[in-house]
Amino acid sequence: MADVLVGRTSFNADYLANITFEQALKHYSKPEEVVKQAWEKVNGKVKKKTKPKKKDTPKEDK
Amino acid sequence: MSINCVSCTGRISNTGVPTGLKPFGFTQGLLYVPLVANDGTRNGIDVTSATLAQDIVDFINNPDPTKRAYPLLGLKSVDPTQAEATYETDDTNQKNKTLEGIKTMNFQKWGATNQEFAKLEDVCVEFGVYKIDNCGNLQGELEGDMLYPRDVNEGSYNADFMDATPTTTSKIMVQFDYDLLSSDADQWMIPFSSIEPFNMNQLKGMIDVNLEVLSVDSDTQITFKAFYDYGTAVQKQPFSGATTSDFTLYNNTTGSAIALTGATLTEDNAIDGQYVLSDIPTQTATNIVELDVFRPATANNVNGFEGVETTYESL
Repeated sequence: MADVLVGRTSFNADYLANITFEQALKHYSKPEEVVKQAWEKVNGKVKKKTKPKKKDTPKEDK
Repeated sequence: MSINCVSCTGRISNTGVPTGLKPFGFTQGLLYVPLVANDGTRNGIDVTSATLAQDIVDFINNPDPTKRAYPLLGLKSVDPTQAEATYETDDTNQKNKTLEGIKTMNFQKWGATNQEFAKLEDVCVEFGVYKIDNCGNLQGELEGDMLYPRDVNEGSYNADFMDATPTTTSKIMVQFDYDLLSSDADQWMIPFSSIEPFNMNQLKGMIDVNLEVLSVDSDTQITFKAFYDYGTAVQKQPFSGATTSDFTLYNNTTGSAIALTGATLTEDNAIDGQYVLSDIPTQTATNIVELDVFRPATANNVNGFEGVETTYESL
C-alpha cells in the first residue's frame, strides 16, 4: 500500500486512484488544496469542468 | 558436547582438504533468535530458498516476535573462549577424556545507552544465535536444508553495563555459554554473496514505538503521539515521518480490523511524532479500538518499527 505525502499529511495512493476528485473532496476532511495536491499526484491534473457549448439555434424570424 | 555424543566410524577421518575454501571470519555481529515460535515451529533459514536474501530481511522484520531474528551489530572485543575438557585420571596418572569443555561467547557493545542495556539485560526465552563475520557471512548449525541458530544455554546469559570513564566509553558486556550439545563441527555459513544485495552487517533490528492517544477528537479522528524507548527523561525521541500505512486499527469490541485505506495521517508541524489520524471509518460509540504500528525494514541501514499497541474508546 503506497502513500502519497502532501506536506506532513499522508494519503493512501491506491484509494485515491479509485475515486474521482469530487469523491475525494467529499470523503476527506482536509482542505480542498491539500486533497487536490494528493489526488493530482496519483491521477494527474484535475480537469476543469467546461461549460457545454451553446447550440446554435436559428433566429426566429420576426 | 559430551564426548559420548561423537559417533565413531571405526576409522580415522580423511584429512585432505580441497582448495579455495574461505573460513568464517571474525565475529562482528549476532542474530538472537528464539529457538521455537509460539505456533510450535522451529526457527531457521531454508538454505535452498530461491529468495534467500529477502528471507533473511523478512526474518529480521517478521511481524511475529517469536519468529523474528534480532540483530546485534558492530560488536567489539568478541572473545569466544573454550573451556578445557574434563578428564578422569587413573592411579597411574593416565587421563581419560569424559567431557568436552563448554564454549563461551563474550562480547561488548561500545557507546551504549542505559536504554539499550534495558533491551539486552535479559533474554527470557530459549534462544540461539547466528554469527555474522566481518565480511557479512552468516554462520549457524546445518541440519538437512535448514540452517538453525546455535543453541545457547540461556541460564548462563549475563549482561552488565559499564559506565563511561575519562578514558573509556560506556559499554554493554555480554556473556553466555553455548548449549552443551551444540558443536563447532556442525557450524556452516551462508556466504555474503548469497545475501546480496543486502549486507548482514548493515541489516538493522526493529525499534519499539510507544503509542499514546492524546484525544479522541470525533467519531472519525484521533490525536496521538508516537515515541521510542530512547531519548532523555525529559524528551523521548519521537517516531517521526510515519505514514498512514504504518498504522493499524482494530476494533477489540467487535473483533474486526478497521480499514485505514481512506484515512489520512498528519504529523503536527511543531511537534514531531504527534499525529492526527482523520477520516477513520466510524465505529459504534464506546467500542474499544486498538491502535498499533508496524513498518518492516526493506534495505540496508534501515530500521523496522514495531508498536507497543494502545487502546481508546470510540465516540
